[in-house]
Amino acid sequence: MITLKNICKYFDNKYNRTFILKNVDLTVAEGEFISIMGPSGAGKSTLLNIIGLLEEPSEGEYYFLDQPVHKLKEKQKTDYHRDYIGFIFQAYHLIEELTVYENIETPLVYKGLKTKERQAMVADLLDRFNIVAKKDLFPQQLSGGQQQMVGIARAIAGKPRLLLADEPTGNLHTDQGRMIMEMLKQLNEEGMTIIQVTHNEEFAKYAHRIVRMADGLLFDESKTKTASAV
Amino acid sequence: MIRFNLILAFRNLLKNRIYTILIMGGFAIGFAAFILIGLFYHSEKTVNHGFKNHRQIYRLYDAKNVRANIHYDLTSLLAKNFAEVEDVCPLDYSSGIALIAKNEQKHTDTQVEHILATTNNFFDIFKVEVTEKLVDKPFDRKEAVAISKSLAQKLYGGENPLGQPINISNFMFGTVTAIINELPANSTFKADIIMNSENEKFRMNRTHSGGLVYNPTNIFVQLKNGADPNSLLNNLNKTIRSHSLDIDSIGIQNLSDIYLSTLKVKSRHAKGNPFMLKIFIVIALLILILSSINYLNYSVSMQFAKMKEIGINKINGAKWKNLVQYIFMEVSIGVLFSFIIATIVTALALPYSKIIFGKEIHFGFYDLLSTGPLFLGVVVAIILINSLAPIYVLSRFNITSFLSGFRGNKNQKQLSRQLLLIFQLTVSIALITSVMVIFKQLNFAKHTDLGFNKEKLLRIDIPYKYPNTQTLLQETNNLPFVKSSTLSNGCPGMINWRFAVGEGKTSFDINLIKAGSDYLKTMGIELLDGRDFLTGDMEKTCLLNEEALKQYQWSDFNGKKLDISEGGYEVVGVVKNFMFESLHSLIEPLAIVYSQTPDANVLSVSLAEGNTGGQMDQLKRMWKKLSPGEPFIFSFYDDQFQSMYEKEERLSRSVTFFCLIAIVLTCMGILGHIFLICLNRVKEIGIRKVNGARTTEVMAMLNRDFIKWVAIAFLLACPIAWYAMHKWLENFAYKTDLSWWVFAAAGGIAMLIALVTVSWQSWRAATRNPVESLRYE
Repeated sequence: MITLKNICKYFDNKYNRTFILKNVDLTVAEGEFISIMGPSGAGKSTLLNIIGLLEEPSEGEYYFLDQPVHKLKEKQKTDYHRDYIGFIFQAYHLIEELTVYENIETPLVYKGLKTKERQAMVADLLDRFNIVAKKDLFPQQLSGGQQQMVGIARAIAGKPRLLLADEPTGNLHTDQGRMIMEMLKQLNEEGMTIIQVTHNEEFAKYAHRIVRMADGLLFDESKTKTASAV
Repeated sequence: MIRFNLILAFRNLLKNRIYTILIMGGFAIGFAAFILIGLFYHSEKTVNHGFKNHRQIYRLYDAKNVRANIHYDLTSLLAKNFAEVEDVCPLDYSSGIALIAKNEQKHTDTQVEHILATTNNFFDIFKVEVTEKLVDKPFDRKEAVAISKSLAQKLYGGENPLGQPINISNFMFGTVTAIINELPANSTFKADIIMNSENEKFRMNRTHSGGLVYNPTNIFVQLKNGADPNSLLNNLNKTIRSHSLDIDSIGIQNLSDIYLSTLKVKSRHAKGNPFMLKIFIVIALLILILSSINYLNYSVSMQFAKMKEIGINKINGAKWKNLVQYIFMEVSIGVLFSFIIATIVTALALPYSKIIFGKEIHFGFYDLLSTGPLFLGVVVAIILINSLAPIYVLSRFNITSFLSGFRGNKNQKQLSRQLLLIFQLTVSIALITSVMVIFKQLNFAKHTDLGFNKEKLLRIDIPYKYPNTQTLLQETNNLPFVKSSTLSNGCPGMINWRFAVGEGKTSFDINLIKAGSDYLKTMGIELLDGRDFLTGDMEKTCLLNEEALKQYQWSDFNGKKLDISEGGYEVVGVVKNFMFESLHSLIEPLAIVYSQTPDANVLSVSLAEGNTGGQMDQLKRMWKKLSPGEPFIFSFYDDQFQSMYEKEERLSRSVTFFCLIAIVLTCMGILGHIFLICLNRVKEIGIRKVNGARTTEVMAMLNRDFIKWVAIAFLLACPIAWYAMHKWLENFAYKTDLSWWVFAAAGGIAMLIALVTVSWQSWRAATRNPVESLRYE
């Protein structure tokens, strides 16, 4: 599904070039659940942003569903956001002026669905995430875990094939975090491809595969495992 | 999608309630001021448009003397000899002099200010609505008089006025033959009474000039459709001298140009001030720009505050189209909302237009048709500007910077903000300066030495052919509180006689006051040279003012004569120049002739100190006794001269009013600016405080920039204000000087306003607990 080849991201200063990502290669198959781990400043979020088409790599090739994404225009990228990719953030990033219901509805509105269809879909999601009673509340009236639940509901409302989660449990305590991870695991089992960035070893293990990063370099654990086994 | 955007926009506006109310309220007030001035401008520009034929109606004037009053007989000449002329009428117009209309049978009387003398043609040319008349023409006989409905009601009550006699100030006697509706309100002239000028007794002016004695009058012609006024003018000027009508050359002016023409044609028609109108328009535009700048700053900063939200929407798949639509919708709601408030404010203020502009603004359906598109255009333009600016700003960032709440390139953004703020400050300083100069001039005018003693100097108007003039004088002098009193025909503020004197190139017009004994003493006019009148001088001597001596080019008055009648008047002295017109015009030549004054129309009384009310009561009682049935009409000379500045005062008051609005808008701009600066520097302020900065130091740091900007604005504003006020003062013959301290004071006031406004917010920012401000970041 995703193929990264020699992805580099760097900033040029006067005298030297600062690398954030250096020659990153990564392949993700459809239906996989991957955790990216590493210390602060390793480039995890940048990598996720590049995968999510929020940032462009300085060098390298990126194929998403066999399409060369590095050649896409801004407008086409919006189409990808609309149809293939969902996001979850550490800070939830809900729109404070909209209710729970309206927040979940947002991507559907942008997809151009009719009111009837939207109502049905949002109702399903509310049901599934157990937040029907909270649908008319505003985000600041919810606990962090509940807000993140809404965030996930919104991210998957548009039925994306790829879900990107940037430290989804970073602001939550362990119980809430587990609840979120269970939810992600369940979504993955239903066939959704998920890539998450996390600091938490326990939560990282929910994934099929853990990749570790340090100083812009990526070490694929599964590959190292295989190597050591041989 | 639209519903979705609407919800978001509304909730966003409600979220920052106070800021929103402040900005929208300010914008609404600015917009209301703009609409009001716009309506005023429209009303001023369409004076006399109420007359249906106004495009074809022209006034002729004496181009050499720039005077509208010309020889009456030109009327018949025009009617006969010129192909371009459809119709012509004289229009002898009197206003400002109080005449008394009386119904002698019912003993009702009322003061009438607007009197016309004209012919039947007038009713056709000006399409006057005659509601009742005796025969098919309003005037069917020489003494025919048409009166307005309201006057008919006052004089005749419920009776039918047609055919009834009417007495006008005891010297014009007519018969009411028609009732007319009021002339269009927005006109340069009004009519309570219209008299038939075929009757020579009804012609109100008489002049001796160029060896001729004639009745001068305004003359209006209606041209045929498509006729060229210039061709009429050429034809007229070719032959005009051969008719010996005391005119060298004729000028022509459209009816609708009379009010705002820069040509200062002497006439009784109301005259607007085109320069003042320009000032108003400039102020209106400035107010609009100032409030738009505030609004622009507001909407851009609001978009910045919502960058995160926009980022989320983009990730959720919002296209540029959606975002643009959203911004556009939010701005439109705000602007339209403000516009509605502004319209309501305007509608509420319109009845008070007389107080604001000194003129009632009538706003009809047709005015809406002609001004509506302009206002709508302005609204649309403001919406577009206010939506495009944030869209432009947002288009420069990518999604990740949105999500991190990145506040843009600070230097660049602030430069444009600074420029806008400096512009606002410049406008404010220029306006403050202007207001101060206007008040300085008014004060100057009020306290200028008029050359006579106007304190407690009373003027009593004596009716025409009043039988008891001498008794009145004696009785008045007998009252204990009267210092002295004097009779005269003409007085400062009302000159009835003008004569052309001198020969050839040195010829000039001299004004005449016919005065009785004690004139100089009562009026307090200073005698510079020669002597006052002596008992045996009556009807033989006169005094001249300095200006008359100058125009005569006499170095010595001894043995000189004022040659205006057979035998002339011997000049016995020279008096100091005194004002007998307003400060708008320079003092003209004047002669005071010593006369028996059987035709006196003014009794001037110098009152002693004491209770003026009681004194007036006694005078009134005496008047009642001597002249039953005559109204007691009086005024004080100082009030009379004050009222000459009424127009200026009202204009200056309204300019001040709008300047205040502009200044308040600028304050809001300053406030918004410091608000954002504090917001952007919350962390910096916190860190500085943690490191030991005192409140005063933080405030000084925040205020320093504003001092710099006020200084720059001051430098920019001075030349602009100087130029504008220099131009305005040209309207006055006697003007105050543009002292440096006015500019300095205006700069000081602006600095004070700016610092107080800034400090209000910066103090709050500086005293905030740094723990709190740092935690937020």
